Amino acid sequence: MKYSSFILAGIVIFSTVLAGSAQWRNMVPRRGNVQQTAVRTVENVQEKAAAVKQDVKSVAASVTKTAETKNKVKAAEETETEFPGTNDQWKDSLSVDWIAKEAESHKVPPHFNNRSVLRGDQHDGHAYGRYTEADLRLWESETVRLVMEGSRIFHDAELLGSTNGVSCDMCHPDGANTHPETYPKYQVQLGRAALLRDMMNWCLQNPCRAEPMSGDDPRMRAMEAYLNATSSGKPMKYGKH
Amino acid sequence: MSIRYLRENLETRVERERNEFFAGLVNLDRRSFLKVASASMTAALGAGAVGLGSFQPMKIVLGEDADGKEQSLKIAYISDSHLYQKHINDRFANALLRAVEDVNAMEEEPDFIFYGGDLAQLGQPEELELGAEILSGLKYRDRLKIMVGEHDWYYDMGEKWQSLFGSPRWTFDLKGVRFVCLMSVNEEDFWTPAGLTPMERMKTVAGLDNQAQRPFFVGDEQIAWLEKTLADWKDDQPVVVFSHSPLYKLYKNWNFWTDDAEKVQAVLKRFQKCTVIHGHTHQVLTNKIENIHFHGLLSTAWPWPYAPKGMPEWTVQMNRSDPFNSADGCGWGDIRVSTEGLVDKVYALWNRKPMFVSAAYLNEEEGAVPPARPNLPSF
Repeated sequence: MKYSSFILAGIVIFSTVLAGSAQWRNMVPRRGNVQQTAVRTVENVQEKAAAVKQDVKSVAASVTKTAETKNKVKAAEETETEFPGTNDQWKDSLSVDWIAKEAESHKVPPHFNNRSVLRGDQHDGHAYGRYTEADLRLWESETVRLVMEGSRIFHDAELLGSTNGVSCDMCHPDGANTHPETYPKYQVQLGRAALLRDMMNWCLQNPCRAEPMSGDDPRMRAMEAYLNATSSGKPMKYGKH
Repeated sequence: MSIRYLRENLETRVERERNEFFAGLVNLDRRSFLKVASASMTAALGAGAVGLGSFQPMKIVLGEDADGKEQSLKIAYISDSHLYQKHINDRFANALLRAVEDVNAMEEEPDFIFYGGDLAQLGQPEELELGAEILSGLKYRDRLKIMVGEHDWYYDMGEKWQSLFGSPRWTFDLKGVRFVCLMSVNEEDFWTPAGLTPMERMKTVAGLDNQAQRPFFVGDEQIAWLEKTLADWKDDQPVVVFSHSPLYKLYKNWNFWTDDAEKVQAVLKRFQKCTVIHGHTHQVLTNKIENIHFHGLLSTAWPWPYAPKGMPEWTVQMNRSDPFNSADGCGWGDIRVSTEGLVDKVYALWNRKPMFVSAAYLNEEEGAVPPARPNLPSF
């Protein structure tokens, strides 16, 4: 009985800490606290919305170019969609054929011809027998779109975030001398085995004096797609110097 | 357990011998210095650490006239600096400053200094003014002859460039050689139909791989002017032609190309000693078509990769450049016209040994030394 008050206090403190822990709060909403949970949910949503807003701003700063695109991002900011900005260039293709425009300026080797997968009813009942012309068109248009997006960024100092006017094509016309087919390789000057994107980031930081891009930056992914497309037909020889 | 090296490896030996050499330099008189030096040099050569002739100034034997007086002609060149405005990019400006210093430090006084075009990157007046300012630091600035490039031209169609440097085509005679400079970077009007602004037009032309532009051409009017300019020149008198684009067809996608090159070549064909010097390609580039010799110029800003196809067999490609060294693959050089009126070309590559392309090599003379081949392909 002497210690019961201490035990009680201990229990109270423990449960308070437990209730206060973010994990607990998110994982097990307790009965009888519906109102509190609702408040917390609202808070969470607000936090997420703020994060999305932040995303929108950073993406807008890096990706958008035309006033048209900027307007779209602004609209996206207002409606707070899940992944705004990143795909805006692609949405543009509904109104402006920017891919054709880009292709007019910068030539890329043709997409692989996949007609051999169209085998009529030979494989009836199997996935590979079911592909149609429409499938091939979809594969090609989507892939070419990613590649041309890369070309657009590769040739534009502004989109690269270059601070001295230098863009990739100034040393690498048509992606020449980039050799994506030789990566990964030990890059002597970096002192480690490097991926193509590591070298791209070196180029961004040094000749372009730009910020490096994260590996999943939509610009980085698009430029990798472009460089791989331009080295089409070359045999993969990883480690080659 | 102690480790004993029974055999010294090459690096260790060279290192040891070098250390011994430098240790031996302390308190030496001249005679013993030479002894140590020659012993050390022999050791280093034996180890293959030093190539014969490395770091030696290049000696070129020039012709002499009847009195034994040298009559050859020496031209220093700088090209393709691609300057941005000062506050945007200081690297390219520094590179041009370096080239100017190198030319000023030349041992022999050049007869004139030639600038090969593309002084500016986007044809902006500020860029051209910056270039003019830097070039005015040349010791022999009154001997500067300057050619226009497409990067100088397509923002205001040459207005600013011409106000600074005069006509883009010119000619003069010096020591029995006729020099002619052509404006070879004309393009058909692609901008009016597309409704481009001057800056959009400039940026389209500035993109080497930009297919929205048209191929370069000299133009019939200018070819007629060239013919007239050379009308009083005899077939055996030497001619040197300057043009920004190569006056032959190398690779159309990058405009390493002049669309009416054959017409220009037809005018030049009759001369037994004719050399074309061109900028634009930013690399060691050599060609010969019939009796016409062609030489490219190095850039001070960045090297271009070699064209993926159609490379002239005369070209010994320069070493692949190191992206981690912004001066590598760049440089300046000189052009030497011998008494015979033929051009020997030196590519003074920063960071590398100079490359020397002699007229004798192009004429396949007996005993002619071909340009030194780098041990790695250009990639």
